[in-house]
Amino acid sequence: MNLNMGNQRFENVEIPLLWGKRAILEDKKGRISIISLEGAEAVIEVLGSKPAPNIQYELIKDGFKIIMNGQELYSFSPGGRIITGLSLKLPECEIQSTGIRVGSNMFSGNMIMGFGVGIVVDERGIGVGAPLPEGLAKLVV
Amino acid sequence: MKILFNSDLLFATSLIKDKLPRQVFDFLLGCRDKGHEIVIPLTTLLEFNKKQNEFVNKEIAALNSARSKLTDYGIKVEEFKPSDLVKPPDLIQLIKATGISCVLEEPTKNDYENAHRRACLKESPHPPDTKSDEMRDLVIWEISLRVAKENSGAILMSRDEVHIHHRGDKEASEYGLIRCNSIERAYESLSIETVSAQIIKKLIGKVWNEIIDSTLPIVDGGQVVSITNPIFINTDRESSIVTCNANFHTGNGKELSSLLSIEFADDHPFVFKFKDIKINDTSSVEDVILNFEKPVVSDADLNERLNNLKELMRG
Repeated sequence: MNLNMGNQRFENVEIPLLWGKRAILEDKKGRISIISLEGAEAVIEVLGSKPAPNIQYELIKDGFKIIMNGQELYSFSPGGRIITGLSLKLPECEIQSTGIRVGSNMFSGNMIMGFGVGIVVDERGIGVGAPLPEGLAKLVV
Repeated sequence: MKILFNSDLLFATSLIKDKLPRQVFDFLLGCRDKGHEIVIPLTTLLEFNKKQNEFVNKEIAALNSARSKLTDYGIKVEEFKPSDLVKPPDLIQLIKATGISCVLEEPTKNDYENAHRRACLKESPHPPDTKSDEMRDLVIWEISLRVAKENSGAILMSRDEVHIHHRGDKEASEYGLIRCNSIERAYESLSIETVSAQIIKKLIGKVWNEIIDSTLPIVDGGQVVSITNPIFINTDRESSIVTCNANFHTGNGKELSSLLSIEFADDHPFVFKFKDIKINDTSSVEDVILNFEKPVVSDADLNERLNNLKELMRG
């Protein structure tokens, strides 16, 4: 996959930004999609900055939160393009036009080429350029 | 109302610098406007500080590493002390900065003893089948019960299983302790209208006359009292369905509660399903389904977003 997202260039990556077990992508109109790779198959949870069909959610100030089996997983603010972990204990992620903020770390103006994952975020930390973790569903929609 | 926080609902998943996470900040402003007070158990503060100190140490390590790298490449770096630049946040001060009253609540000897007994004997709300002692959670539980007892009720904000499991229902009820596992449920408990409730009330308002004319026992003068536990789902036919618990004054001195689902498109509701209808807590009415003209909707927007994503993944 080749794309520009948050003022980074991702070339020949399978997933540009992996937040826990969720792929985050920005389309050409600047809208964000979040795709869960937790199960056997990829599930679109946020499609073009709106809740995807057949996904449970609750509206909140500035956005919505995604719910699964009664658990609030994370919230997404389309205006600020901010993803905040709720029961998912992951650092907040913000896709700005000038960069990608993960927690208090800012990535800006990088070119990331030829990796399974461009930027990887998990409970332990953040990394740039990593192999695709095992056990994830294939990113296809 | 006193509102106690467990650390898991402070959303401190990264270093907090000068402002609390947005959801918490907005919630505190809402509570401040209604005259509520925040109580931070010492246990919560210690957990919060421990996590924040880990982030501080990572940040300091990153600064040291950046200095070394720049120096390696012959770039002169001005002398600085990373620990002067990165400071752990002061939770109590950050909360007070919103203008709300906030106190730190230390456990009493009695709190410790009760928590210790519950942990050792695996008494409720301690999970009976886990090896972990969860002493910290039990201390917060004890403090919450005590604060609730002293103030004729309180709210505990926590997602922790020890705090929200039904094992603790009876005791929480006796002490007037309300447990909320999210900010939105806390808004509902404090009668602060959520965004979802506002939208659902608007949808109901659009067909209010038809609801009064229906077989539902609501008459002129009735009104929506509360909307709680809303769950939305977008369909793949460009409409949305919201399900919630709805309570109404019937307009003739009674209360009606129902599990309500509304299907709508472009803010126009076209199906209302009232299920499990109770009048003054007694089931006495059949389910009611109201159908209205379905607005013309196009699936162009959904298709466009999906096609855009597919194109992106092919690229």
